[in-house]
Amino acid sequence: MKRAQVRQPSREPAPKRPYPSSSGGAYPEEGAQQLDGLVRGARNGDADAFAGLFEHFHGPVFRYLLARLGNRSEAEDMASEVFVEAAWRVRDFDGGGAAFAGWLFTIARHDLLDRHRAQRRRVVEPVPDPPDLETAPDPAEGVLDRLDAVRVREALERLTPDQREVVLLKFAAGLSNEEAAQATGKPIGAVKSLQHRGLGALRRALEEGS
Amino acid sequence: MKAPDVLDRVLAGEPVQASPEVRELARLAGILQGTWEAAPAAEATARGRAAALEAFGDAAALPTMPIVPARPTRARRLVARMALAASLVIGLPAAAWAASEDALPGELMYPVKRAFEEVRLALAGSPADEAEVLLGIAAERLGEAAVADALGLDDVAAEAVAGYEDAVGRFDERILAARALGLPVQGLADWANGLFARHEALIDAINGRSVGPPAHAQPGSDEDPRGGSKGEGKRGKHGGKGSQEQQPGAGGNRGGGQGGSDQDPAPTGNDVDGGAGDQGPGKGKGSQGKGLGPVNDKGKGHE
Repeated sequence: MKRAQVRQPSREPAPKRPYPSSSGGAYPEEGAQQLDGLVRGARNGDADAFAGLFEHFHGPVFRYLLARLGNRSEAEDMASEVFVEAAWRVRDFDGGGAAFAGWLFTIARHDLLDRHRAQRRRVVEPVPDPPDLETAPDPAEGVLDRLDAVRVREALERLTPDQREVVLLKFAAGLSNEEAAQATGKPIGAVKSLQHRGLGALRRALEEGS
Repeated sequence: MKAPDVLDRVLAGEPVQASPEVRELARLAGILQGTWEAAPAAEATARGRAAALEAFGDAAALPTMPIVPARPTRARRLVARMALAASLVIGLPAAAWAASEDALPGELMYPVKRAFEEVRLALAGSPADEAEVLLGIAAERLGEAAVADALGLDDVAAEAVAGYEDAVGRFDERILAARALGLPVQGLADWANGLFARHEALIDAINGRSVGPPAHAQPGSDEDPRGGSKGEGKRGKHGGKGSQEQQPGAGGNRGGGQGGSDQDPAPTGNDVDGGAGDQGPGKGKGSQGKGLGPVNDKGKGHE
């Protein structure tokens, strides 16, 4: 898909998200029945229903991709590609709202994997983008208080792939345990374990890198 | 309670006793969330939304894939022909099959001819395909009736007409079955209805209630019900339109007419006048079928 040539560095205020929980999900204030209805409508060809799903999940998908890629423009473009792919395939999807979230993030993960493979085939390494989210370091602050997106992304590389995936799905995308379980194909108990071990490993990696 | 469960409950905001380590992890989770807090640019969101909805509309415009193909593919036709050829080698001498082509009810080879029709029916892949085969069989029965009528074999003609009615009834059943499966058979049904309306006049003529006697032809001419050339029948694939529509009769040319080509596309509505010599949907017998004479264009629709 064609990439955006020019992008204005506009920053929209991020919506306040609730803390992810096992019962919440990307938008826990939205009823599960409403989400199920949107998914059902989209499967039946209702464009408004699919637009509703876009409104629900575009932000979480973007944040997940931004955390993985570290580049707003690429994250925006890839998020768009994820929804285009979902639009083509949603009629074949079988499941409710939580399963849809898992399905959508599975598409995103596959797109990331494709991108990673394509990059590995290239001879020239891409020039890294400057960090988008910067914080002014304060010597008085602790390690965790001086985090920025670049450091976090570097520390994430020290995690196992499963730990990294769960941490990103839970805390970047804001998925519930059930949704993360759907996206990773693991039981909810395994998601909780990966969440615990992943945060522990991330904390150690950040402390070692500070 | 295990540490992962405690952490999950702390993250959910539940008041649980947790170790300092777990609380530190929960704090890290909160910081991570703030670090990754971002929203796409409004312009990018609008662009992505438009692209996604356009793709959604494009996907909706695609036809739904039928459960089974409504039309036999070239490969399936090839397989069917090979199976037919194999059945000939194994079960029926080729000469007998060829001899059966012209058989009329009551003749020695007639059961062979009917058996081959059932083979064709068995090779059809879907109710829509079966309907097309049955349409050809109905036309075959009508051709037999016309020939028998031309020869003055009233009993044979009556038996053939009964076979025609049976084939039409089975055709209706397969159309209903195809519709139940969501197969696109409306074009075939409409085309067949036009055909049946023309058949009605011919059947009336055969039964002696017609608008006029059959137009018997001179032996050896193209209208000769038993002889004639191996070329196109009186109402070959595209013949018989126009003024000839008022000439009921048995165009029993053994070489002409029925079926057209196995490669025929779906009925288009331009090819509705063919009588038995116009199989349109493509299950005919190529150049070996009977060509029915032009029939009166009146009569009721089949459905």
